[in-house]
Amino acid sequence: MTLPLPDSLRDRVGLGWRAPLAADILANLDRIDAVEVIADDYFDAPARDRQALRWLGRQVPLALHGVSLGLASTAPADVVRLDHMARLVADVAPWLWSEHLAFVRGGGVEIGHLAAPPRTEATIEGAARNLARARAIVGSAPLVENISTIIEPPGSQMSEAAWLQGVLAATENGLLLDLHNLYANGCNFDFDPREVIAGLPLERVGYIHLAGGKWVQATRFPGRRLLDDHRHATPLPVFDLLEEVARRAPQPLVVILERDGDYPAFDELLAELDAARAALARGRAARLAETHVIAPI
Amino acid sequence: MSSPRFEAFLARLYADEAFRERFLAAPEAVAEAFGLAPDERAALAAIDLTGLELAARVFARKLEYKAEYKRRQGWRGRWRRRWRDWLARLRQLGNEGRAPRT
Repeated sequence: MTLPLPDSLRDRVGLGWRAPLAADILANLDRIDAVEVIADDYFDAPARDRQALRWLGRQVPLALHGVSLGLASTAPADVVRLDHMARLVADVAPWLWSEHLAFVRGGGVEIGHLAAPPRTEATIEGAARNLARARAIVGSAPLVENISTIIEPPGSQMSEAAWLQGVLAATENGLLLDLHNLYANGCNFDFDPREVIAGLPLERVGYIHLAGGKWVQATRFPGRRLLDDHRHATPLPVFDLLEEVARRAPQPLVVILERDGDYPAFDELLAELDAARAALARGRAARLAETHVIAPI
Repeated sequence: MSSPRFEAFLARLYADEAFRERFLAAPEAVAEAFGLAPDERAALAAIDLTGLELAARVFARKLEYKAEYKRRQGWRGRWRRRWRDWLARLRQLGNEGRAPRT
């Protein structure tokens, strides 16, 4: 007979909290183990909305996910935005908070979205400084997320894997490992995401993102790229990567599915969560088989 | 390689269409006029043009969406945002004042 694992030791699978999904998430909390809320959506929110988030965090583990701090930069992070995050974290008391390894502005110009910084020693040092500042102001360290990019970051002097390893070596932050970002970058810039996974300190993974995307075609210059748009179902190779992480990582994993539009019937999202659970189970079974090798008679 | 100035250049390249067109017409001259170092100018000479076209398209859509959101916010939202930012600045100034000096 197999006893169920205690909650602290089992893998969990959850969903990004979005207004159009809110009612369905609340109605299906028995199948959703964690939620992730976009922090920036609540920087302007009145106290009652923050209280509602705090309440939600008592029903289910809740992560706050930042998108605008721009911490992977040689320029100092904006203390005003960090203060907003600090206030929100204090009000909501989340399970944890996270932010991207991206820069989002420069010289007073807003880019509008997450941009991959040049992969250099200078941006590793800048990210480490900004992450220390974030920890000091917010009061806790964020998990840092690898981002997708459809442009090879100009001025880069190292691979994505080496840069990511450099940031993790220079800081004590945990990693939010986005497997679709890794997969998309692998498709776009011709590397094997499994090799990147093999080189990462997976014991530092705090949680994992899954998502889908689509191919976009350039018109002025030749070529196409896989865009991580969060508007499509998670592709099968990304579940294979999740299985690989579960095979290698020693700690319980939390997986969050991100969906930001073109919402399907909620049952389809629940089916994706089940597919993630199945991939985790396959990876754990393989890990168990590898660590319990039976000696030949 | 890589500095706040280089990041500022990339931000304009990604978000400012007119600047991007000037750069595509004369990359070396535009980068030099911006005050970039020779190694930074060399990196831009080899820029991933397909990626630049597609990334700029994505960033433009995101900027449009954010501008529309701000327009819809109305004066109350804008006022609340300014008040919130002002308070945040004040708090952080207070924190810096209390930080131990080394």
